[in-house]
Amino acid sequence: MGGKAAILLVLGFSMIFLVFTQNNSRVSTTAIQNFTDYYTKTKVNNMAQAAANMAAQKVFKDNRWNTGFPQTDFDGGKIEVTVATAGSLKIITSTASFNEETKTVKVKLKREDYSKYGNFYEHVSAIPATGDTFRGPFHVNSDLKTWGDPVFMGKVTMKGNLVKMGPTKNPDFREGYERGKDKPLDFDTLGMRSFAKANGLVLKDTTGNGRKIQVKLKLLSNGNVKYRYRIFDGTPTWTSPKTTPLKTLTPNGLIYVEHGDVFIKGTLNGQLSVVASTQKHSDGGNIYQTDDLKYNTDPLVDPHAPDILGLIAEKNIRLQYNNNTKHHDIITQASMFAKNGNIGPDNRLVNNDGVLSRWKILGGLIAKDIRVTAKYSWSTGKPYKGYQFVHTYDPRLRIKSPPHFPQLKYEVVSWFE
Amino acid sequence: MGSSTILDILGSSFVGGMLLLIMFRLNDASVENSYTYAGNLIVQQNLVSIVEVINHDFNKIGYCEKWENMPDPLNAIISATDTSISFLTDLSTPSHPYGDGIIDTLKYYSGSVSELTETPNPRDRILYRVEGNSIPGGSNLGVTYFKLSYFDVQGHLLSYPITTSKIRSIQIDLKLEDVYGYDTSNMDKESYQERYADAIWKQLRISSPNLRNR
Repeated sequence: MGGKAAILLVLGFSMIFLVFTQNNSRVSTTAIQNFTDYYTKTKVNNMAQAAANMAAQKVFKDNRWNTGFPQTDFDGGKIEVTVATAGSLKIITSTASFNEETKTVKVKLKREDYSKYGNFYEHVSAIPATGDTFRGPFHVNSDLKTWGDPVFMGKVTMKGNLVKMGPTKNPDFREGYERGKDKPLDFDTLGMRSFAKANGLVLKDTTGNGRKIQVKLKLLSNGNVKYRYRIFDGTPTWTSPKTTPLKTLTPNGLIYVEHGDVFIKGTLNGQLSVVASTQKHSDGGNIYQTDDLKYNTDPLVDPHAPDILGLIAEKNIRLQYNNNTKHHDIITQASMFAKNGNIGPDNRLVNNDGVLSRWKILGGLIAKDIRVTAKYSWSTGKPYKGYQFVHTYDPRLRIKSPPHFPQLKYEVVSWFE
Repeated sequence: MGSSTILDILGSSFVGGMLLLIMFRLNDASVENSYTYAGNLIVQQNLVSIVEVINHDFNKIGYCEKWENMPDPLNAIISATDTSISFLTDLSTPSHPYGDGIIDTLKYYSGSVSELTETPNPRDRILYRVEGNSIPGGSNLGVTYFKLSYFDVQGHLLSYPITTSKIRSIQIDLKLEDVYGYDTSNMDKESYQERYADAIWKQLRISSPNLRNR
């Protein structure tokens, strides 16, 4: 009897231990499974990200790259990348698989427009200082020197280092700053000429002698443009003015002046880019603004305003000294690009006959260097003659650019994972 | 019945009683272990679930399927405190797995401990995830600590009040505890860890690619 009881006791306890052990073991297994699942998901996510980054690097280095990566073994799993083109976008789709888990990362890239920038310079000889406020994205292809506490409202990028000077050394970067960003200041004049030839307007010396041309453009608020030109053939004479709808004159919105200068004013109703090229000559390549230059619909009132203007000069963009400009406030609504020069009032307007006026810009300035716009008092540090620089960034330029405005390399505009 | 028989009965009763006590103690210990392990497992599973959702959402700060609708991703974070964040994103739907191209607002914030007085754990709170203007709601997954820290592009910790356009990365500290625990009124258990199973997750610098690229 005692023996049987002992056996029953042993069997009973064994049964109880088995149940508990099995329960504990199930909990442990589930916990491990939970950890493994998380690890797998994290790993497959990282793999898809890595593949997307590798593909994006290829596109950054070569605008035309669209080969993708065929299915490849990668870190114990597999990755595959395809690159598709949709309009102005390149779409990278990266798929990674690991332990029966699959993850897709979709990245959209678009050529970055120079016109996106509020300020873009090769170098900045006039140091941003206390009291200066820069609006929109800011880039400089050198060190960025600051004096005191200037304010940068947009994201700031620079190729070199940030050099803080002055007593306070406290520049305010509202959207932060990044170093080591190399963005060459360049554009392809031949490419722009091709676009203008195809469906825009090319103005040049048609005799084939490559002589300089000057073009006057007056933009009219009804969507027309009044223009005339003269060719420097010994006795340069202005042609009689012609008035034409802008869309008829240049269906793709590009006017390319080959080896010449442009004089422009008026109110733009439509979308236009004007290019002044040197065509490898020593002269030409300048754009002169001769009076107010503005949009028919103010984008600060209507954010969806359709009017947009690009001024692209191989040399300089100048406010011209004349009766319409001197001693007056001047309005410029455009994104301006001076490839080998700078943007600002001409020398006589910097003095402005002792008068202090305002130059109200809505848009962006892209140039080799900053140009002085006024004379400053040593005692007060404030401008007393010339043009006080009043810059407002046109927020539409973040996503919209004037027709065929020069572009940089691809940048990521949306990243889904 | 002799005295030896009485001794036998008393002896076997004593041995049987001892065995019963061992069984009861064993039962107690195994039940506690079961509760603790199961509680640990639940906390871990809840943590992974929350982390997956946070990773998914925070990696899409500033994302929009139609990129033009998000002209400046650096302004995608609307507000940021140490216990809450509100940002713009484009939420996936079953019919639009990559988002529908319409900007959505998403807000994360931790509720008050006073909202969950029914649970034995005095420190648990609801981590709310609110889409747009919908009514805040959530389930109690045992969050006891939710803290956000923000860093600029140089990796410097941003101080409050935060200029949201400077945020490039976010550190999320999250701690979950078992909501019910086991034998929580036992005063011999001195620390919370003995009463409530817990798990901690610290995501070092989650950084949405959409905040870095444009």
